[in-house]
Amino acid sequence: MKVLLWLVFITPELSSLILVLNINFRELKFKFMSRKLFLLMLLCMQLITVKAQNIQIQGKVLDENGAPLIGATVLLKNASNISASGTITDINGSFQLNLPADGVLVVSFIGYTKQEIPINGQTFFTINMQPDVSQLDDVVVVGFGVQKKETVVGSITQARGEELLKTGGVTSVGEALTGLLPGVVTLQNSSQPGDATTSITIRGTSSWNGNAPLVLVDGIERSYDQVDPNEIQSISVLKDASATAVFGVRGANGVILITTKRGSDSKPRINFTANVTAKQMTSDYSIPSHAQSMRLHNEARMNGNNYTGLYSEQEIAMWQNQADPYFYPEIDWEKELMRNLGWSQNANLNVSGGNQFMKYFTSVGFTHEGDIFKTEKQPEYDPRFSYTKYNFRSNFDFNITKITKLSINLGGIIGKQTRPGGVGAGNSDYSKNEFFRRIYSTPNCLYPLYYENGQMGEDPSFQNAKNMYIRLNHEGANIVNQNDIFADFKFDQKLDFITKGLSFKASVSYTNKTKTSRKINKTVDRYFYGSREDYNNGIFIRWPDMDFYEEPISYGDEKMGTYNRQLYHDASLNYIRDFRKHSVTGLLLTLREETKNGVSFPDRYMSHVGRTTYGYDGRYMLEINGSISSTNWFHPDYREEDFFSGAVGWMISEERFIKENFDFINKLKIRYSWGESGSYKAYSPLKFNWEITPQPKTVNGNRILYFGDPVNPINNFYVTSGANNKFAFWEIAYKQNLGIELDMFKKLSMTFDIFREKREGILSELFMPSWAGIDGKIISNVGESKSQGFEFEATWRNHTSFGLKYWVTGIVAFSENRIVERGDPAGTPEYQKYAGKPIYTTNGLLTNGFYNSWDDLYNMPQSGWSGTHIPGDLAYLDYNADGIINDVDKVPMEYQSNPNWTSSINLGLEYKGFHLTAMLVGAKGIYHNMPGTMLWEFQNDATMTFAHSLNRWTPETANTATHPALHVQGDNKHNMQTSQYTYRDASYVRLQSAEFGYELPKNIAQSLLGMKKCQFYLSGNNLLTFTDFDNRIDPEQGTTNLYPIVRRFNAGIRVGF
Amino acid sequence: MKRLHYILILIATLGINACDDYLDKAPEQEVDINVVLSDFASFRSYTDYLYFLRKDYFEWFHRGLPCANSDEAATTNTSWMDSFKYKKGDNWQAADYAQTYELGYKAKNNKDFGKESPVLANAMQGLRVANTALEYFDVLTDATEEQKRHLKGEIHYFRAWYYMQVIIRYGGMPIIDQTFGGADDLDLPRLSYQQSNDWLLEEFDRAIALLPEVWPLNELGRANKGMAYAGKNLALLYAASPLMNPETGHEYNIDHCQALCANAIKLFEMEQKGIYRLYSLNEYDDIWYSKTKPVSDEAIIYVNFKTREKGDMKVGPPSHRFGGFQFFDSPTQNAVDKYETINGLAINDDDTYDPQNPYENRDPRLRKNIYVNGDVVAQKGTTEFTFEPYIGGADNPTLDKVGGKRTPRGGYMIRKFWPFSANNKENDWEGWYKPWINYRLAQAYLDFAEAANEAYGPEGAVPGTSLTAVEAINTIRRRAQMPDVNSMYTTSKEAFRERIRNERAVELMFENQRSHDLRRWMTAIDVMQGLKRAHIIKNGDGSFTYDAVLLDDIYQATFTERNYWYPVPKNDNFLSAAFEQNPGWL
Repeated sequence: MKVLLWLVFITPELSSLILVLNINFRELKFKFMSRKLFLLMLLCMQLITVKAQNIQIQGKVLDENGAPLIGATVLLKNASNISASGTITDINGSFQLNLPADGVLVVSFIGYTKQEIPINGQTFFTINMQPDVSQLDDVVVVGFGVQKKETVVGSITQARGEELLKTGGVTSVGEALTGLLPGVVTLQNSSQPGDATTSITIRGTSSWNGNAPLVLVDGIERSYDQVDPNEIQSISVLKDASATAVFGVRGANGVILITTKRGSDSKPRINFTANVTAKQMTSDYSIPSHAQSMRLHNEARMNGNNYTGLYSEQEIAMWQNQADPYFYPEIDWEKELMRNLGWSQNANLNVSGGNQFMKYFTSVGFTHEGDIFKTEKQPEYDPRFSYTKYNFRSNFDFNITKITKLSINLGGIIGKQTRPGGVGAGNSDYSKNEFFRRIYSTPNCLYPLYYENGQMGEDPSFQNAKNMYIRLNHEGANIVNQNDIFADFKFDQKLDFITKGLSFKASVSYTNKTKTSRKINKTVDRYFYGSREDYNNGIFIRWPDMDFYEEPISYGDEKMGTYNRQLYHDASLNYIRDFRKHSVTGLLLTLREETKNGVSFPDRYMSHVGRTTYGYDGRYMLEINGSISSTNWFHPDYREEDFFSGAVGWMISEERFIKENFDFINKLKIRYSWGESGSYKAYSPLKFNWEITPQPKTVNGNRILYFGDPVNPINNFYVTSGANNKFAFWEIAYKQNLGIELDMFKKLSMTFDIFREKREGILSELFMPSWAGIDGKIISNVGESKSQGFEFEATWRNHTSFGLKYWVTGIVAFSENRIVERGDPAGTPEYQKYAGKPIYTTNGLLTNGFYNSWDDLYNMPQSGWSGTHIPGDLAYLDYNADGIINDVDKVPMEYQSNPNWTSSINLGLEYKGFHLTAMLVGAKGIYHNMPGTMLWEFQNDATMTFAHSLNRWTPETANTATHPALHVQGDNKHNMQTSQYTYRDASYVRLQSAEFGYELPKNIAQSLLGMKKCQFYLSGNNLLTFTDFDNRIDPEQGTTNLYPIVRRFNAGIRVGF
Repeated sequence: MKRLHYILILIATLGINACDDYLDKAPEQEVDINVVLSDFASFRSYTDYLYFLRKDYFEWFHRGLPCANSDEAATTNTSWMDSFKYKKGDNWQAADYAQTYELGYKAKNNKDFGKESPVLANAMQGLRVANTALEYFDVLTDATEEQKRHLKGEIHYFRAWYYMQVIIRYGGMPIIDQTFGGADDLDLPRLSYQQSNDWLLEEFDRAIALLPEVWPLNELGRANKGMAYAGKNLALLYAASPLMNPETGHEYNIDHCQALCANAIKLFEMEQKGIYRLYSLNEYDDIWYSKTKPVSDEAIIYVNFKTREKGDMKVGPPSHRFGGFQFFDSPTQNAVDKYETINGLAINDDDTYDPQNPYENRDPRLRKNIYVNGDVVAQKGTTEFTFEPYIGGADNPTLDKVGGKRTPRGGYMIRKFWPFSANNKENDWEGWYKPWINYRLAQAYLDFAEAANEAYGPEGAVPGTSLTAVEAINTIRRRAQMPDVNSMYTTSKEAFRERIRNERAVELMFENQRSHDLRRWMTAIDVMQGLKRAHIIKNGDGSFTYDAVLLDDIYQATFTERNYWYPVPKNDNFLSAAFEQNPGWL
């Protein structure tokens, strides 16, 4: 029994020292852990306030153009009673207050510089507000707390909720973050309704075990894709170790903190947004006509010296003339399967407000996403890809006493996803990925969609040639119901009576997510006729079977899919206080989190966290963070680790020589941090595989062992899981960051960060000889990597004298990485080792043009692959110069699917109620391996070719050819090798979003409709893409295995009451 | 003081969180190997895994049979089937690919009893299980001496069997008699084939000494003495073969031949006792499947299996037209030409052979093993479904475009292993006992004949038995109602060697022997060339014109010197400088 005892010595007046001793009673020895020593400097000081006589004052708040500013907050400085000493301006920008004559007015409005105006007995004020160059709040959300923006020394970027909503129609956080923050790279994976995912990486790739950042919503680990952007107050992205060390073993890949909106002490404010979206596929898929493909197929066969089975000109003509389209069919799959436009709608209504005792923010949202495929609702079921979601949230804050606060967040999601029955689970022929890929690879010349008698066509012989239209519409449906619910309880007790600035916080949070699925099965018959003659004589092949009769529809049982529960609780002591020029904060926190997926043994994680910051005069900042983390993923002896980080900052602009000599500099800060954080979610099986332990195994699958006569099946076994490594533990990242922040002219703000990271102990598969017979992998901390990069962001924000407001933000970020060690077997040739190569590198052949003649073919290195080799095949580089091209010549190609360079330009214009915003996003250094089914002709034995097939090598076109000579399937091994030819540069520049809108003048909105705000907009996402990548695949997606990425056009309204 | 008190209470609240039990796993998550292996029943539950790791080539996942690895058949699928990769000699292409059951070596991560794993991965995993079991054997206390003896025999048998699977493909390997871990010395050199084989033979001898001759009826199918003798026979046959004897210039190893003869006699003695018997021609089909008998009396080493659904029967012979997978193996003309005429002469040696009536008056085994043009393949009620492999027929072997895959490329269809009623007309798929037979009694005679011919000549007396090489072959032929070997073929050791090899090809056709035989004889380079198919034209009057033409290039084999041994995994080679790659592979 190990007990951690916290010993606290407090000397109440001047300073306090908190020592944490970890006493292990079993070993009866005291371990003094230097990293677990947290030193807090405390100094006491009393603030003196003077009471004075109240007077009646009034005034008007105007914006930079002299127009009234509605909703600005006017407040007495240091007011103890906000509702009595403050107000917000009305539709004329006016306010009235009863305040002490010697008080100071504080006027603030989002996006404007806060002003302080001494009253000095004056009774009427005209206050001209100036836009703030800094678009961020004064406060930055950091791990387990908030910090003043000026004092932050870690590398943290933050976006406010309003920025996420700058473009209408964005329904996911991942998409909203695209291009917004430096160092945050997002890639859209799929646009499937209800399954639209965006992968987010922070500062590139540092490990081959996944680089997904930790995402916390209001401090609790939750997925971000389901959070409604309308509910978000801010998103903080923590990038360096000083910010992430407090997250211990979970922080190495960066942390995203999402904070939801809360109520304020005001009358109810109502916001309503509604949006309708039209969407279409971004990629374009068209192929040569079948007649053309047949000629190319003949060419390919002759290239292989194969003169049997050629298509005759007569046969080709039948297709070309389309005289008998039912027996010489040619289906344009893109036309038959894709809609021109699909439709989505979403709306959100939220109300916030409160009083002294209670504040609230409640939000309810509705989303419906429709399909871009030509799916149709059937009488008995709905096979359309769709997603309908209702989400709700209520955030309450109760001031139980003056010093005790209780916050309760309740929320949930009810979602329903439907998709065709031919997709995904429950169908042994098709996995979900297969489904989408088949859309691109199904032969188009075997059967018509329908015969003239209305029978549906399908060639029964081929799994790969099924009628995709039937798959989409006539094979039942899958329905997934999703129920997510969560509740957070947070308790905040001020302990100023012990020592000023001390408080105690605790929270408990519970999340429950379930997904149930249901399948509706339906099979319809389809027909295949060998020829027109057969058709006329009624000789057909009926499918699924000759004896098939259409069965009634069957409704599958509701099945439990995902079932996920999470219980989190923490408790903390916080300290924050200023003593003259010294400001001090401290945090001690302990947390536990249990996650349980289905019936599996729960993942448990716990951590003790400490942080202290010290600032002197707003000029010098120091921050020290530490945490002791442990998880049950590892052996008890190796499951605890402490993480430590430190950072320093210098606000140069606060120095007198800057203030006096360079008054155009508003802010100049330099900060540096160093620290550690970890990552462990790599190989889940490590949990219990510490020793060789036999596991009971029951087999009821396909293959059962029999003995005896009559046979007696043996179902129960013990199996061992090979050899294990109980010494495995987590990866540790050592990160450094140097940042400079500079604001000038009150218009320009810039941030520059440069970082370097070393990742050690990356869990990797240990190479063992195959003859050791190890079933599975031995996982060991053999890996090491390093990465580095920089981020630069600059914003120019200004307004002109005639009332045009505009801003431009530019972001450039770069990151690169190298594997230092990955346990390469010693004898591996250097060029084939992982070490020294970028993470996720792929080995491939280097191309060297084509063999342009038989001379080339015979004089150049010989191909190691079977098949016919002819002029026009790809010439590869014989890397090891052994005269033969084979797998050994494959060398690492610097092609990564995550971009090295990302950049974005964010533009905004506002003029008299009109606004125009646009976001351009660019990525460079992103490559995809072209799927074989889209690159090579005649796959699946189908006579199908592609647009690029026409640029094939032939003796006549040898100089202009861009594609190798044609081969029939199975004869093309040589060209089909992974090579520089199959990898394509997918760098792109994309008009990610643009919005044009108009807001009714405030007084009109108010007088006509009683609204505070009424705005209409038209917007679009993924509007334009400039890329050299294949136009059949979206460059971000890079695969045909998922629902295509869509381009969206939105129209909507934003109303506030 | 009061303040301090207050703080300590709070701190104590935090401290509660610190107790370490929170992370401890539930006790039931751990099973102690010393407890599991202490009792007979659970020890056996552990070692029975060895039975599961055997390869059942009828497993649906394989889609096709390994017969297409040789000149026996053409595989109909050119994109990813194992046989196609084998034939094209691209063993590297296949090595990583778990679905390639013959060439690959990486175990499929899905631990569903290795059904999707290559035979080599299963073998190495089996060796590890056997070694673990032997290392923990002393833990077993709750068992009778007889139980322990039999159990140990089974473990030794499998250690030998799996080691043999490895070395006949890779050649000599280190002795794998312990469970290697990350901390062990893995820098082991490869031994010569004969050195490896010596250990293998010892293992079989240990198994022979420990195993019972027969098990009680409810344990039928467990390793017995017969299996160990048969395994040893096979080990000796390979060790005696030209490929495995580079030291003597790839000549037969006469010592091993003599040892094989002496070992095979043990199996013939068991035949005398009635444990095994050769089936007559009438029962020939019953060797492979039955509805009543789990395994035929002719089978010695086999993987017991009973079909439970269509999928269990779909792999191998039935073409797609009759309910099988779209990919299947179609016998070549080369295979058909191996069958003698009913006169006991090779077709080239017999003037009565009529190329325009090629399937009449042939070795009866031809029609037992292969469906030819016009055969009734299925029946429903009175409707008969015939096999039509002629140009323009339903099974047109030249059908191309998309239809190519399902068509019998060679113009023939396998009949062996395929019950007549198991098709999509009668749908009689379930309840068939259909073991995969690795070794049957007929093979013992063929092995004996091959070894005796080398050691003692065609008619030379073999110590310990009255059987000669010729007599052993005649035993097999008589059961097939074929005349004895024509004397023109027994004039010399060399001449008879060819006939033994032909007899072996005919009798063991499609049983995954041929591709290994061609390697060990070192004849594959010649034999795998020029594969032919039947080219049958239907004439206007309903008669047929028969011809044989070369298969398209794509179905031809690329077999070179290096293909005699499979490449060892590259990483094994890179991990240890002492562990050498096979010649011709990099």
